[in-house]
Amino acid sequence: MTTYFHFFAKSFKSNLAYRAQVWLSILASLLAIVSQVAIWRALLASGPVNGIALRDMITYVILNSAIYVVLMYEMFEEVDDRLRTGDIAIDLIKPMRYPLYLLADQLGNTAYRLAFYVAPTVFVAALLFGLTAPASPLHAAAFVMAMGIATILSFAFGYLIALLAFHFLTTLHFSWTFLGLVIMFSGSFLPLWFFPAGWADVARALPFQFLGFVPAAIYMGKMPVTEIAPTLAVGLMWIVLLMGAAALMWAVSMRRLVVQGG
Amino acid sequence: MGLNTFWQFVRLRLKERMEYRAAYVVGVAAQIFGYGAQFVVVWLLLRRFGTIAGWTWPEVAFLYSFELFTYALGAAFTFSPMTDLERMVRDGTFDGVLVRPTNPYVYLTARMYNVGYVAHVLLSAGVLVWAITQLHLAWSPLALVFLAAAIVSAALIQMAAITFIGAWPFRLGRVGFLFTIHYRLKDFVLYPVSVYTVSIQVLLTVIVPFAFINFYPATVLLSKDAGFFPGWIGWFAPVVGPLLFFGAYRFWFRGVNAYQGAGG
Repeated sequence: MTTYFHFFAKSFKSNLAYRAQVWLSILASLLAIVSQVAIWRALLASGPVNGIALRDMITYVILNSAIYVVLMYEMFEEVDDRLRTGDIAIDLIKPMRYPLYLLADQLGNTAYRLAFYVAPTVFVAALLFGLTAPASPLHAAAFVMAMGIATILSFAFGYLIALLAFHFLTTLHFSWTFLGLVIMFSGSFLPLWFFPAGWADVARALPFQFLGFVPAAIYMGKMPVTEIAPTLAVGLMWIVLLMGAAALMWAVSMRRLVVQGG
Repeated sequence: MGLNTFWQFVRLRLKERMEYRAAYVVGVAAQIFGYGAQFVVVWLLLRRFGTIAGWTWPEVAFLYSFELFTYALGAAFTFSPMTDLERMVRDGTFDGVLVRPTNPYVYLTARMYNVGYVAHVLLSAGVLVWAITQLHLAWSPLALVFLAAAIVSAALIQMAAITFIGAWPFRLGRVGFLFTIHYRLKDFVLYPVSVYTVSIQVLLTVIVPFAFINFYPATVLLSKDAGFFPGWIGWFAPVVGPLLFFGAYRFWFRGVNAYQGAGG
């Protein structure tokens, strides 16, 4: 356990080397928030739609920009890189469990971003546009759990895609497809409230809503209290399912890993 | 460098890609899906809300696809060399470019011409044509000439922006974050610029003139309101691109001339 904690700490610290990036990343997040808030201001100018007012959407936009930053979408690029260069062989020789190493490494990145990108961005955005408080202490607690589920679920997806790369020697095709599905069904830009009925049913049946819509809807109290526990349970179920699939693939991959070059 | 040499380079790049034909086709399909998802989300948004700042779905689709199409045209030349420049400066391979008996800018943009924008072009051209048929535009000869000139100019703005960023590795070293900011700023013009506050409209017109890529040409072709600026500003779209590109090109060479080599 301490080994993996060191990996976590190492990836957190190595981020600290690029301090100029912090300001520019905060600026980039704020720019995204500014443009989306302007769009919702235009769309909701004549009053609430489906019971969602402008100030709700502002909170939704800020929360989703925060969720987006902590998710582990860069992981497959790293694994892709190490597969292409052959460095993956060295990772696998080390006396550690590679998946756990990846998780520790990614959690280090996430913790860093939470402290240095998300917190200041949310603070500034809240000052500029106003952020509503969580609907209740219960909703706040459920929101923290939903964020945990989002983080681990994004790891599970990233890990699965990385494993697919062991077979196909590139992650690009899968990551494009995955990000397309996230854009369409996570609700991070267009909340599921505004989806037409058929599309909403599809989005609710898929795991991607946990990467954007679910945490924000819980925070804002737009999900009935009785639905929170079952929804989070479904999220956990997706994690178990994806990690199970990943464990199977891992076993297969290790038997047929081809390292290119030498 | 003649046009022949350029085609030679492009043919080599295509051959390289076609080495793994199946992977290439699957990659293009996946990319179309990834970008297509963005169109789907905007379409869903406008299905619910009807219009945004008075723009209907076909009009917003026109804006969106015009931006993506001209990005593909321009970035095919500049994206690969300008993002790779940071590395070339660091490991010294850029010195090898400088000793060649050609213009280094022309050499890099031709040698590293990216044939990987097929997905962008297929998707955006498809949506653009669809949007134009939906909009029932009256195609006068003037409008056709304006459309062609606006496309060329927009591609030049896209090239200029990336070239401008590419002038910084000579001065700063690391520039990856400048690309992130550039894309976030460009996201603004995927929607009608008139939805933004006056200060942002001024920013996108005067300081980072991305509004000239798609928004101002669209206001002319679709007879839409130009927001804070007077309606005739759109007619300047065809000249903004060449001017900006010329400026960025000169700025890039100033960077090259300041370049001392990374040592080693």
